[in-house]
Amino acid sequence: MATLLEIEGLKTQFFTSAGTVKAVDGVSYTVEQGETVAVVGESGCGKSVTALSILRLIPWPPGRIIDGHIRFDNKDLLSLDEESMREIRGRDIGMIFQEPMTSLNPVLSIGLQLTETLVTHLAITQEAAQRRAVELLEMVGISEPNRRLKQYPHHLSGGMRQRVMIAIALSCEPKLIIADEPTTALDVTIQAQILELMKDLTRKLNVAMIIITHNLGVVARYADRVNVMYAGKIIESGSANDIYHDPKHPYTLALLKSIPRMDQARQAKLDPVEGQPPDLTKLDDGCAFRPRCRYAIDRCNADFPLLEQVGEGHFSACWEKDKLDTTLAEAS
Amino acid sequence: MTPSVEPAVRDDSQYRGTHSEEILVDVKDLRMYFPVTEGAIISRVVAEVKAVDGVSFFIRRGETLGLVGESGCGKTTTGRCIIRLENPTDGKIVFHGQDLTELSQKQLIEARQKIQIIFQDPYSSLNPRMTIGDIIGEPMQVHGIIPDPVKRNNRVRELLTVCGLEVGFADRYPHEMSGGQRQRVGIARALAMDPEFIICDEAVSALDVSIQAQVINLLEDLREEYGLTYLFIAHDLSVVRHICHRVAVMYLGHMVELAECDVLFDNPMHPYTQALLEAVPIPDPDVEHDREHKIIKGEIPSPINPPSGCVFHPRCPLAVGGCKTEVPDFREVEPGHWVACTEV
Ligand SMILES: Nc1ncnc2c1ncn2[C@@H]1O[C@H](COP(=O)(O)OP(=O)(O)OP(=O)(O)O)[C@@H](O)[C@H]1O
Ligand SMILES: Nc1ncnc2c1ncn2[C@@H]1O[C@H](COP(=O)(O)OP(=O)(O)OP(=O)(O)O)[C@@H](O)[C@H]1O
Ligand SMILES: [Mg+2]
Ligand SMILES: [Mg+2]
Repeated sequence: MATLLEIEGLKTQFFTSAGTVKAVDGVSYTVEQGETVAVVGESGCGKSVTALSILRLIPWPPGRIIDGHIRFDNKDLLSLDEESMREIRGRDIGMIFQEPMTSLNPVLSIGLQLTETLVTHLAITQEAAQRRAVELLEMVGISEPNRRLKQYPHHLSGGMRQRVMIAIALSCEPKLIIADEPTTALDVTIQAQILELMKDLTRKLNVAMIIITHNLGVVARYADRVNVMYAGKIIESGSANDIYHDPKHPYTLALLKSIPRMDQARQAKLDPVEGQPPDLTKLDDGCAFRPRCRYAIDRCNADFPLLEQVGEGHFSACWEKDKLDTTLAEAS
Repeated sequence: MTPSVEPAVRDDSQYRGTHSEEILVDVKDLRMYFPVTEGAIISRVVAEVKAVDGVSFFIRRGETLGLVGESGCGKTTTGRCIIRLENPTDGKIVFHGQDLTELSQKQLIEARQKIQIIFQDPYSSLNPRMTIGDIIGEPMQVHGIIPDPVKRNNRVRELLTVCGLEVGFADRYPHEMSGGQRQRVGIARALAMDPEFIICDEAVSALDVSIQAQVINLLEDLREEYGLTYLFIAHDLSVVRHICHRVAVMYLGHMVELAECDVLFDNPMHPYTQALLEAVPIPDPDVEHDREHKIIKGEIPSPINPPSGCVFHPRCPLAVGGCKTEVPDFREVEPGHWVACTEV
């Protein structure tokens, strides 16, 4: 497999009246062609800002990418002019967001939104675009595509709108899809339908996908590799198996201990980490997780541990990574 | 690969806590139809939304009953009817042997103190201009439970502590707190009335997993400590399996299945319950890898014009001719296990 996307040392900050928000603070990861990479972590840890940085959609003011490199398909995205960047967005990189209602234009018909993308990026005739739009809707499992093309977003259910978003994201045969919480707003049976559809289509068309979610079940079902973020940094990275069965960072371990299992009878009380994530305007040089960490040592106050290899393709940013007790604690 | 994150296996019964056999809440054939109107000036009723359409269940004292089902199936409406925030179209709600639907306004206010509700969005349910202390203290003042301001203040501080918040939060405002902290305030406010029964409507749904786990543990501790009874409305089935004694599943205004928690999850009988459990991804790649993903087709129909017969029949893999016309009884197929399906 060849590397499609390579992010290195990415830093994105927001300069607000409350201080500088270090939303993304030195993130590096790669995505291979055709691979599904998950980014997980709790609210506010910088998942969406990382995705928006790849697309160069950080609003200035107040936000700005202040450091790092992003290589996509042998292009240096951070040095492209806006015109070339626009071409990449929507053509080479498709996007699917949490709430399709906000990303679809409410006053334009579904058909117009689909054909617009096709005509802009592929320079094909209106007629050809129309035919392709019908094909795309069929591909994402929407019945009566000809009728649907004339409808407006509010005529469709949440699940249908997300299918339309997928159709738009795939319309120009992208190499990468960035899906930010694509099913969070949907019911579980509809979520399963949409994720299955995304999986089938990305496999069939060999499209790579970055899926951003806080649902660890979704990650277990669909991701090849997983990046766990905390306070603007990736703190652990590895295959889904590594992350779930052999976690090497106290935060990953804490996450796994916080979620009850639906497939097993209850064993004991949950064992969550105390406290809450830090304020991203008040980060220091130490490890951001240390105030909540059961393994913290003095060194964690002064030095942020870099990601180090702990196994093949498995990395952890923790000084005490070899000392973790990975059995779930007994109920007190 | 064998999992190394191995939970310590224990007899689980003691962890959910015990409950009595006394029935505290008894809901009988509850119906809530909302009128759908048309016309801005002279509005007329053109249809009805059958949000809850003949639902029956009971909750024992000290028990947590889970109420699950997808968006729009009527969970919140059921909860709002019990606490009489809605005026049910039909049915009985017996609390402590009293039918709440027959009480006068004055009697109702009294009965309602013992029933509290905690909402999903802790932000919109807290008045942004009041301090946390006033938010928690207000119901005690309004209902004259603790008229003395000094004593009331002490009680507020006590409640904050019980809910795991610093007493200093009493002087702060909702916007200065995180989502998890605001949810604790919502719980503290519900506890201020010294309730017996709390309806938790998606009370932990908006929280991140580590904070969610903290609040789940708090709810469990309070249940033990004060002998509380919960109706736990949620769409996250793993949380429901963890916290509930029994679980009820709704679909399009109807109850489709109700059973002991582990029975329901290990041996679901209704095809909808089966589909619902099948759809939930398990946070374990090995399990997911070995699982056959049978994905149910179609979407949830509108409650304005629900399917005839069994409301689930258009999506049901087991449907037979009779399902189109015949509304299945909610019957007890095994002791304590009710299912509304003719084909099981
Ligand atoms: N426009 C903005 N101005 C100021 N701060 C911002 C802005 N956008 C994002 N941030 C901050 O950047 C941080 C990272 O936000 P981000 O949206 O990436 O989080 P996330 O991991 O996607 O969370 P969620 O799971 O809630 O979507 C947060 O602390 C957020 O408050
Ligand atoms: N005041 C109302 N007027 C008209 N229809 C209503 C009203 N309240 C609820 N409904 C409808 O009743 C049905 C049941 O709604 P309810 O809020 O009880 O569902 P729910 O199971 O709580 O869903 P969710 O999981 O989305 O919270 C829905 O179709 C809803 O649109
Ligand atoms: Mg986000
Ligand atoms: Mg609801």
